[in-house]
Amino acid sequence: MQFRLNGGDRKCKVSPRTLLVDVLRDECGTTSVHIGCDEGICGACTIFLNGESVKSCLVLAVQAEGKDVETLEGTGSVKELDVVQQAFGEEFALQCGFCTPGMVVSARALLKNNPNPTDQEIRAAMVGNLCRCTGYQNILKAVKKAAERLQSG
Amino acid sequence: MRPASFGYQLASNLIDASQACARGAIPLAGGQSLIAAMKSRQMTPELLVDIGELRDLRGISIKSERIRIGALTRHCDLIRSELLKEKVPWLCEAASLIGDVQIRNRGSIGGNVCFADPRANLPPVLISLNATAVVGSSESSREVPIENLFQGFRENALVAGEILLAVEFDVVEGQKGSYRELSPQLNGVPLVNVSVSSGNSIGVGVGGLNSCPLRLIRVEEALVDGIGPALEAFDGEAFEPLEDLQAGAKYRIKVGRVLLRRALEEVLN
Repeated sequence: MQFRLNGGDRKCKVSPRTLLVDVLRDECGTTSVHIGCDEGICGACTIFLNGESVKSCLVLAVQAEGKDVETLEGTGSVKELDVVQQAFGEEFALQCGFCTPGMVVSARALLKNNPNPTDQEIRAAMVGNLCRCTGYQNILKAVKKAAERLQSG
Repeated sequence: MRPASFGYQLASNLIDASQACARGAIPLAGGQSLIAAMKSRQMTPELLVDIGELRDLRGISIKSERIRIGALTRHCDLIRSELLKEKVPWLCEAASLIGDVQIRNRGSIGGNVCFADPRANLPPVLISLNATAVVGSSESSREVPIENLFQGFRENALVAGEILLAVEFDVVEGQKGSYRELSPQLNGVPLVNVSVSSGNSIGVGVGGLNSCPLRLIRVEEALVDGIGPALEAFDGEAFEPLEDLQAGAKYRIKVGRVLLRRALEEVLN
């Protein structure tokens, strides 16, 4: 199969039963994509597929043929965090950090379509991402902060 | 877990897809139910035919007050559709309560219907709207009342070679409707769901009260005498709901009655 990963072309040999999440982690080394529940609930494996957030544990690798995949590795890095990641850090929106990559993707997906979301809209947009540490309040604050910063440029 | 091994074919047109289905392939659309069921090995198909690229099966249109929704139209498309928001907002509401953003970005109306889970969100609404399923194969196509598509727990009535192409329903000026569900988790799978739609006649669809979604014909008939008789007709039905750790049969039936009453009151009063 061929697809674009974070702007670069990728070629992988996969069997039909291979999940996209496994290709991303094992073949491509984009290990920001986490496997939590592995049944489409927790959202730790959330990525962008053709610009839309999806759960990569519920996508067959072959379904990504010719498509555009984006993971966290495509934007921020440890040295240079992007706006959403920076806000998550400042607002203490993570403890163990396992859910964070999926959270950040979902937050970005929300802010792309809705630059100034209400609390309710943020909660609704993040329903598909579970965090077992923070209790979500700080995640909410972080997304709000990121929204403010993105709006003020 | 990972799915058991299977063959995969990408369909480039409907004939391809239909021929694969005639050989026993299961159509793969968004895969949000199918892939999950394959991972847990509840389903172990030998061949999948990926219909995801059949763009003709996508989209929402209206022609002489009849709405057509292509089978591959995703839940997120239903929610965003200005046409549906104006004409049948309760269908949009039912779609907005499916899974989460990520699931709705991939899951399709055709998959939601064909997976035929008794608790799926969209079937009760489509039943209440008296929707028709447009089903096609490489040779022919036919139209079926949507409720006839549901045969049993996760069993649909499509025969070998057939694929769901679209659902269609009439919209009427001043039409009202309601979708109600009780779900133990926010945006989770409902225990029971109910939809009522007015129009030329009042339609009542329920989920979670049997092995597949149902039209409540006796309740519909009793509605000419009002909500009270309709609820009595509900009490006279012999439901056989699922029972699991979340809820027993009696509780689900009780909840179904409450949801039905609220939906009827919303639509009729």
